[in-house]
Amino acid sequence: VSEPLVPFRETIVSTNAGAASQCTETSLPPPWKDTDGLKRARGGLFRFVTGSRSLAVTIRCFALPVDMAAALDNDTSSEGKTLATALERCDASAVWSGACQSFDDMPASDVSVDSFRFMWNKLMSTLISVDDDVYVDPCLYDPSRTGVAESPDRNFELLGRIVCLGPHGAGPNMLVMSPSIALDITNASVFTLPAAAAAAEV
Amino acid sequence: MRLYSLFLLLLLLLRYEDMMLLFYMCCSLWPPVCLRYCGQEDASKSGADTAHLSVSDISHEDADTRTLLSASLTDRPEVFLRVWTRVKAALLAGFQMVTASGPLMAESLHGVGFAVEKVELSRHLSGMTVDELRAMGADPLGDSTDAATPHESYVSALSMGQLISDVKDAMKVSMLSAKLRIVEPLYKCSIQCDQMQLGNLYPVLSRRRGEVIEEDVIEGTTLFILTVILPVADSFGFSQELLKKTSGSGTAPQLFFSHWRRIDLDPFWKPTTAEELEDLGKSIVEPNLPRVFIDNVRKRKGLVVEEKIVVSAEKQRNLKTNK
Repeated sequence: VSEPLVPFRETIVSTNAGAASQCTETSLPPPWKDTDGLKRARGGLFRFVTGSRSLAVTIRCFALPVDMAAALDNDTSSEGKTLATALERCDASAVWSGACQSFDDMPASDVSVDSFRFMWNKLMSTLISVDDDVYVDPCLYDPSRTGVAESPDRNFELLGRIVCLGPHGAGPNMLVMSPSIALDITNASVFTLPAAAAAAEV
Repeated sequence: MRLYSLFLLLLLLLRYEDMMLLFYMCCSLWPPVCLRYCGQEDASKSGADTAHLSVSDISHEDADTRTLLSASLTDRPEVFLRVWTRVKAALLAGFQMVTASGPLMAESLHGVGFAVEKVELSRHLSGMTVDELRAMGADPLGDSTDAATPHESYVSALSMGQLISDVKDAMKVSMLSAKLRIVEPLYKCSIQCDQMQLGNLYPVLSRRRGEVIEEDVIEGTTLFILTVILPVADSFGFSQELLKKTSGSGTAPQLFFSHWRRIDLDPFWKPTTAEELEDLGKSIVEPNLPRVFIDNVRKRKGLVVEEKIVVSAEKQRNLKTNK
């Protein structure tokens, strides 16, 4: 009889979280040590260049707050599923991020606008009203960024930047656009995003 | 003339690194080239918090690429949009692949976010007209993708297969450079046990890393009801052991999945400080709990595992039982 299988999962902790990390400079042991480009990556930030050197993308990984990951995990809650369906439905309509900029974009679905809004506000409350010891990545919510804390649609700023959830479209992981890159693009005239008017009503 | 020669001398004295530093100092003065990240704008306010994301930290590219890849070129949005459509599709696919199978042991990820911080096009690519882009097949928005490819080398840059695997690898590397942890599933169960056997029950739980979160006595009896959180990895054979150790007094519990919890132990921990080195020695360290889990899963999946098969080759001999 083979040993029983236990489905583990992999995660990272934020470097700023001050979590119990016994040593600062962890040198990886052999199977991982020889990964290409590991020397150029720092603290989760990595920039890759395509083989022909015509394109470079900088990617950074960060830890989602535990509460948010739990809320998105569709094993234990329906919120992740709701958000995933909403993102999926919006994908065709939105040019830039694949997410809905306003709720009017959302095609008729089994999720009503009100319940989606409620779900999203609940999800954002895991970011906004957290204790000081929970580290929230500035990419998700950063009150010190100009105008975010006062903005009436601060809850919906992130929604416009989420590209998708994973694995398999719905899960506790998230691909987002950095606010600075989103800013660059929205300033360019081609990307006229619909104003988050519906969001402002909340 | 004198000044000029002094300048030349200075140039000679500067090392390569200094030159690069100068280059980046100049670059940062020009806004589009300046690298910005989440929270980077507030670097002055938050101080050391974001220091690990400074510009100098990620500029470890060879000079060739550095000159090739200029800014994110938002001044040419019509070109950027066309390339972006393709890059976005690759990002989506790569992201799904990484989240389904992570770098540690090819298990799915939990609570990891990836941020796209910057997309850069080479001067060549961004200098192209929309027609040229369409000709090389990098225009999914266009009506047709003809085979006419005037820029052979750049076609591969935007071929989906390569982009996807580039994105996937990049995400894995970025995770490896952060602090990795594993997340384990937990069971919840309630156990009924007689007061007399409670002392025998607790060692069973603690040996299996169980946690009692509630303890109630049933009124008028000597029975206790415990609500216990138990890691799935240590739950096999739990009820048998429970019954045996409590002489049948503890009820065989029903285990329900409760939630996922991160194990806050660095799987790659090694003794580094003088004190730790003295206590534990340099080389022989028992792999800690998450590392044991990782190695087991990797072994099961047939992935590479660092394992010493022969620990001390000199001492090998046939061991006899009847000495």
